[in-house]
Amino acid sequence: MGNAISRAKPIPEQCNVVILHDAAAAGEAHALPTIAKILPRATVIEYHPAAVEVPEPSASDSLHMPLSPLLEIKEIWKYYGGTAALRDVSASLQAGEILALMGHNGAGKSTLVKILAGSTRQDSGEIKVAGKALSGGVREARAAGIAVIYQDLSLFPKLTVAENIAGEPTGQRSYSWRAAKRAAAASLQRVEANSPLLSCLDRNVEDLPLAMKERVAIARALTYDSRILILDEPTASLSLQDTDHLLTYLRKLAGGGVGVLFVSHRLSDVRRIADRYLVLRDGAVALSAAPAEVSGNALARAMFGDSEEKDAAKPDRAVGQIRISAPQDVLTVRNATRRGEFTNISMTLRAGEIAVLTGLTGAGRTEFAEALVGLRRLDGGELHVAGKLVSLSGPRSAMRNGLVYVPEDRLRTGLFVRRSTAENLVGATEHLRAGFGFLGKETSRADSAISDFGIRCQGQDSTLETLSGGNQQKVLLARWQMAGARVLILDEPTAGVDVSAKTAIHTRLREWAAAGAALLVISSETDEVLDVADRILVFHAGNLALDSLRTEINREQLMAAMLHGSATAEQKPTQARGEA
Amino acid sequence: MRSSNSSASAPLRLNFHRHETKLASLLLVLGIALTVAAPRFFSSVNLALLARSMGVLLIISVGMLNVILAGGIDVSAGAILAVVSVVLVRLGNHGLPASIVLPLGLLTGAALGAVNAALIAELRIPPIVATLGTAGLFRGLLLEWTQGEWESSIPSWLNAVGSPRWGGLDLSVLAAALVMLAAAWILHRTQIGRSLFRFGDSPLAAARTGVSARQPIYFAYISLGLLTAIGAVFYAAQLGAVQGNAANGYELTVIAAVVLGGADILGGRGGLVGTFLGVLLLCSLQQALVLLHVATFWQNIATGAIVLLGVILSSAPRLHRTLTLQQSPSA
Repeated sequence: MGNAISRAKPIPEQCNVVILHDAAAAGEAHALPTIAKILPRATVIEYHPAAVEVPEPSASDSLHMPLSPLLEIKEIWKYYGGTAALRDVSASLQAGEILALMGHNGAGKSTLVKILAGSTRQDSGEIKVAGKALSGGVREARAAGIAVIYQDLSLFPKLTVAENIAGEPTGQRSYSWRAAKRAAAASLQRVEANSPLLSCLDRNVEDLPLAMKERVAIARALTYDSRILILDEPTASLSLQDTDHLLTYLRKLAGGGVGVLFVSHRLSDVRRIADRYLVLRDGAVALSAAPAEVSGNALARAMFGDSEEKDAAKPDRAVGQIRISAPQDVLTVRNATRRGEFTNISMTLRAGEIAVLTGLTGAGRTEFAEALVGLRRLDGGELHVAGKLVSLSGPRSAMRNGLVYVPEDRLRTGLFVRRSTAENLVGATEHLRAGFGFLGKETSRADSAISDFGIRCQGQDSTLETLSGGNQQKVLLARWQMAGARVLILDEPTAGVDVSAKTAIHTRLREWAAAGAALLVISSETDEVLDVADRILVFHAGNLALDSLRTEINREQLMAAMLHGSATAEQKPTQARGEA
Repeated sequence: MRSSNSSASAPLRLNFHRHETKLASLLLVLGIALTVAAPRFFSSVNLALLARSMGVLLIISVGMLNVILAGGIDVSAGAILAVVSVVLVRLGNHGLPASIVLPLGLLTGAALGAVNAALIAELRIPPIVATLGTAGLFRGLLLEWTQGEWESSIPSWLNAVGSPRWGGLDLSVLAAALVMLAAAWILHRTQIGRSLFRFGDSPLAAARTGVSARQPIYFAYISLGLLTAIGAVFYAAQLGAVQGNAANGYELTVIAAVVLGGADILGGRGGLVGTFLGVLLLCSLQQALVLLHVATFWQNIATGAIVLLGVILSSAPRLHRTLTLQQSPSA
């Protein structure tokens, strides 16, 4: 162990925060007064990793409470053009507290996150960290200990894991690979013991699966001893298992004195973890209270206002009950196998039915879905569309057979965000039609799709980047419905959209199925699985562990199948233990 | 969890710089072919000639690598090369001493690079458009100044710079070696160097981690301007005569060398070893074709083909992955 003071020396003198990393444990308790001498104006933060290990935070919570809150948001106003995105928002976050920030799309959550991160400046009001006002800027926010994990992760795909985690610009001019790697390994170990990423420090982030990328982003946020951690929809694309892991970890961090601001649409996650709710509606604080004081209805009312409450609380199930009398097999899969990904999958999709495919991360769901549309070649097995054996070479030949795959990453792989809504709705599938596809009826078709699907936009000529996530997803669904898709495979169709858009999408899916299409929805969210499915398919370690009608299965059986590969875990205790 | 374990088992293998290996094997193939077809290629005289022909291209390519890493492109490099060459020779011929002319030349290069950077960073003009504009501007102003006349002699100190010494090598080889060393240090050991990679890889993520949105652009284009000016010293010295139309299209050779060296034209990926190999491959091919008395237009065809081949070799596995794996969230 080196000497704390010598390590502190290269820190430039204008530096005003010094973090002592477990100095006492390293026998360097004398470092504090020495640093105070060298840097008289610096704030010294002592960081003790041991404190993070505290498993039960509730008992010691009151001891951590400082006099002024860790983060104070005071009367923030922010205008974009003439409209107020934030109106007089005030809130506070204590050390060790997990505050859930909720709200409808456009309620001002992301604006608030951006202001806290320092990438946008408020028009009036103040942000204080431990009593000290921030003047703005990403670097200052970072130096004050604010770390943000964005929904899009904001990683550098072509750089290595180590550089992504610990390669942030510091005050220093020089860059040390060894120090970055050491810091990366340290923060990975803080996130979890024996992180699988530890052996991948030199790999490029682009080569990692999404769940691993998420861990890189979390580790990065924790590298520089963050005191305030802001997570924007962190569980949107995580499987149940990874979500569990993340929530447990956040609880542990909070136990160590970190303040967590958790932005989420997922009520189930929020209920499990939040110490307090902060709900924004139309840019103003609609609710700020502890979970015990809030009934489920009050939360919905705060998010949507009174008028919308009914729609959000009771998703319309009636539409789904209109069923075609004689279900017809549209897509049949026989013994589909791809080495290392999934084995011997046989299943059938029927017209008028919504099948939901679920499973833990790495179970092979997405790989299977991609194989269904020819994005991955099968090592063995057959695909039959309407009773006819087909061989698919890629999305184009899949579409000719009426099979459409809507990937999860819709911004990058599903939509043309710089083009107009009309073009995305109608023009995008012109090439599938015969002839030149003259664009005569485009305008009226786009208009009717916009009103049919309730797409909220400034007319059909507005570019897609101006639409909210939920409305973009509606555009995507509308496009394929108009293009006449018979089998639609949707990967996490509601990831990252707000509750009302989610309900709207679910309603659309049911109507679509009722109109005779076969739908395969991939979802990680148990509530969604149980809510939407007519039939539930569960993948476990590349095998189809469960294929059952929704009416014949309950939540416990579903969870058991996802975790243990069998709907009744008790019957196979040996296997269950092996997987756990 | 299965996938995470399997991905953890093979990090070393995948970390191997595959593109550089491919380039080196391409060079090896070329070398073996040459031992048969033109054994004279490996004579010390010819190798020294090869080294001299590489110096200028390598120096400017390092600058272009900076720009491409930062997600940019500069098609005005040829024009900057011409401007600085003429400035050096004209002022030198007017009798100004080297101690004044050389700093002035370097300053000119850096200033022209700064003009590009300002257009891109301040006015947010896309790099290809901004530098296309300045390329015409710089070249036109140069022709206006020279009125199309040749500077058919160069000052004696400049002549000395270009004359061969040390067994046929000249100062350009030494300068290129020093530039490579300095660039290696800056790109890998300094924050500004690393920020080029970050900014080029994802400007948004870079902004969110506190990387300045201007600094990498200024650094990249000014360093290219400066390195082009250093290249211009040896360019003029080796040619012995310059005019306003000098180095027409040279930027395309530079970009070809960098891209052949494995740099991602979209930014964020690339390296000095690759760039060196790219320059070496291009120059050896040119030299070999001259030795084999191949007609000029065939030299162009061969150069074009080797650039495409190199880029296809490097991007083929990536293309495949883009199609199949990139959109798999639970792979």
